[in-house]
Amino acid sequence: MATAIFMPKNGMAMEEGVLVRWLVKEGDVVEQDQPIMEIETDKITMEDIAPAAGTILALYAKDGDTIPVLETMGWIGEPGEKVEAPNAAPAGPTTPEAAAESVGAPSEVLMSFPPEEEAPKAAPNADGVILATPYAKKLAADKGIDLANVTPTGKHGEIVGADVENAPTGPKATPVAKNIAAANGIDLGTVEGSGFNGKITKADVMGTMHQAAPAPVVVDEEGVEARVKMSGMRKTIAQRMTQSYFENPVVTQNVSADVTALLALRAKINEGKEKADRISINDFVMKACAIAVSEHPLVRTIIDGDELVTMKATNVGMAVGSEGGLIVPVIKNADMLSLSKLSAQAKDLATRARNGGLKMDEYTGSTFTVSNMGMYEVDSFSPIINQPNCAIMGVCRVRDELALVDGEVVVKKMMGLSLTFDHRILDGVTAAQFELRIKQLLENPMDILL
Amino acid sequence: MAREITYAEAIKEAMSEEMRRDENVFFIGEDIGLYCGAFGVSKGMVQEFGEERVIDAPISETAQMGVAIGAAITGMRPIIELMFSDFMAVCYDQIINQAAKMHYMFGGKVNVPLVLRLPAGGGTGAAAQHSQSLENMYCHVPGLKVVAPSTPYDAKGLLKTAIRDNNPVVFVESKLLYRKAKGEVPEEEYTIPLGVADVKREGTDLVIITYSRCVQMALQVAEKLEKEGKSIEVLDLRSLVPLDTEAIIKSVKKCKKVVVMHEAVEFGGFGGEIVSTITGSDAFFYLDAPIKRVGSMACPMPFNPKLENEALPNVARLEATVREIL
Repeated sequence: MATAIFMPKNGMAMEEGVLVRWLVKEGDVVEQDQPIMEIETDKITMEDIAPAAGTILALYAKDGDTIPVLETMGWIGEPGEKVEAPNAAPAGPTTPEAAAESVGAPSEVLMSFPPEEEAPKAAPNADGVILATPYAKKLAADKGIDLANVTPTGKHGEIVGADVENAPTGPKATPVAKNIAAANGIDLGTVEGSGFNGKITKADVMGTMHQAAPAPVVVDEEGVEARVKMSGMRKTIAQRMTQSYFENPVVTQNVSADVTALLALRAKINEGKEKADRISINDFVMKACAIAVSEHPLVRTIIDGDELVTMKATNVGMAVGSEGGLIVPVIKNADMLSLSKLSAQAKDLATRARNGGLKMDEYTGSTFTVSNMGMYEVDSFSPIINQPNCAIMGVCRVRDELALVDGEVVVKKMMGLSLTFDHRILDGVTAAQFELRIKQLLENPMDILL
Repeated sequence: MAREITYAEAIKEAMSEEMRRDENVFFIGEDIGLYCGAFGVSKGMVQEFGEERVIDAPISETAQMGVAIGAAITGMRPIIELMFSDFMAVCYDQIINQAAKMHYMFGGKVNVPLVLRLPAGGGTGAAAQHSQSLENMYCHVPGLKVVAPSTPYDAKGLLKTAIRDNNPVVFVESKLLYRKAKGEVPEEEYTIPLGVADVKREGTDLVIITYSRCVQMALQVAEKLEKEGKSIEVLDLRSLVPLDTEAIIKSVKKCKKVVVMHEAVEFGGFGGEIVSTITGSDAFFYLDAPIKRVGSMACPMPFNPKLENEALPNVARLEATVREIL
């Protein structure tokens, strides 16, 4: 029976995806789990894998098409097999509904978790034995394949010879680990397994993504130290940055805010608090931005064709850098949260962003983004807009400046703010008003609390 | 030059040719003279060879076996036809304790070069005492060779070899094949060695290992499944003792799935020995499905033809069994 290829639903909020391009064509013979298409969600571009082995019978969608999730885009099956027309509900065990159920549950999604529609792997029976025919066992031993990684097709759930022949070779890894690795361009050969018998687990793959750059490949190429395949995350960042940079006519405006009072207030608030409960400068900035964004509808506006669309919610993203790359978790309705709640959410999201525990919902849907480089002593920069946002606030370090107040020389704590905005939506004056509102809030921190 | 003859004719030709070739060969059995035997196998033999060499015996299997064994140890080469293989139970002692043992008991000084021809099997409405396939009982006794051909060509070639063999050979014939099985048999002299199986049909997906009448059923099923793209091999053992284990192992390694079939009762049948040959060899590692057996039900053969057909292995049951593991 033919198996449907459909747009995966990679998160509760995902409703459609773009087919960037097919990696296969009709008539191609594919292995199960072989990448067959590149799709783009609102956050990432990823490769998606064949749900079954077989021949590509039909591909309905065209490169560049936007397709609702779970809609059938093509079929894999036996040559000559009849398949249903486009949009007909697919049948068989690999129904999109079933797959949706498996991904609809809040699975931990960092970047791109392909739907786990992979056929069930061999599970030990009640006696703890993986059923396999002698021939299957012999083949597996000869080829160095772990029977636990083989999908059984025997009538009694046993692994038969053909199953081993069709099984993917390579390092032993759990299905989830394999999927994550495939979706993010990680070579399982470079991952050290910590599971039973050295099996690579999800955590191992995640660890590789977040801690280590891909192992450089020593190349015999003059003047080149190393040539490394971009990770999926790096590819996504590269593509999105390029897109944003070239699509938007941007202006960056720099202002300074006197945060002397804010630092004093913060010190007071944090007095006697456990470290984990302390409010950071960034929390104040986030909250100030959220208030200003909620007051300036144009900042919540995006361009859709020849229309301006203003979003209701003030969802503030915060850029979090890790060694694996950059990711922007989002604080939803940040303008309505108290400073302490916002702070708690920000801490939680940042921690999980660094160790790869974010759900897709948690890094999508921002209407404004804050990128804080203050702790790295940056005085001024021009952040690139996190599309489809209209603007991004770059937060710089706090410097001591001498100022004259009533004829006295005093020290002021000055914070640099670099607002980059999309000049198609905002004009200089509007942007300046918005930035000044933030400056005003930061200089009168009690207003942030109110 | 090959012409088409029946299984019964092939057997008669083998006996006649060997009797012409060697004056020590003679034939004894009930009603084998003018009556040509219960199944008409020995038609014309008494006319050619006379009553001295084609001996109508009284209704005593014990007497026939006793005469044959005595003649054999003195240098004759008797062929005994028991009217129904079931009657071997009557002369069991002569077969098991005398014919099979003498060569060993007398330190090799005595040979027992006899052939015991046994019309066997059911499907003729002959009921429980005239329908059995008891070859397994001989296979179990060291000192006996057991042959069970499925075609006229094999029957003739194997019987000639059996007659020339210096040991007692039990030659199991299928009553239903006597008239139904027709096939090309060369007019020229030929023999077939014992202990060499024959691939009756080449295949790669599953092998049916069988012998005697069931070979025809296996071929039918193989032909039917070929239309579905399945490639079934049919291995005809031809001789059970000695057994061509190499051929079995080779086929199993190639096909990886096995159905063992015989007309004898499945429980305790020779099929178990074939399965054991497979699982005890390195062919075990090539098995990609449980080995299935098809044989008669473990019940006395019913007289009622419908029940008899159900009790016997048949094409439908074989096909279902093959599909189970294919």
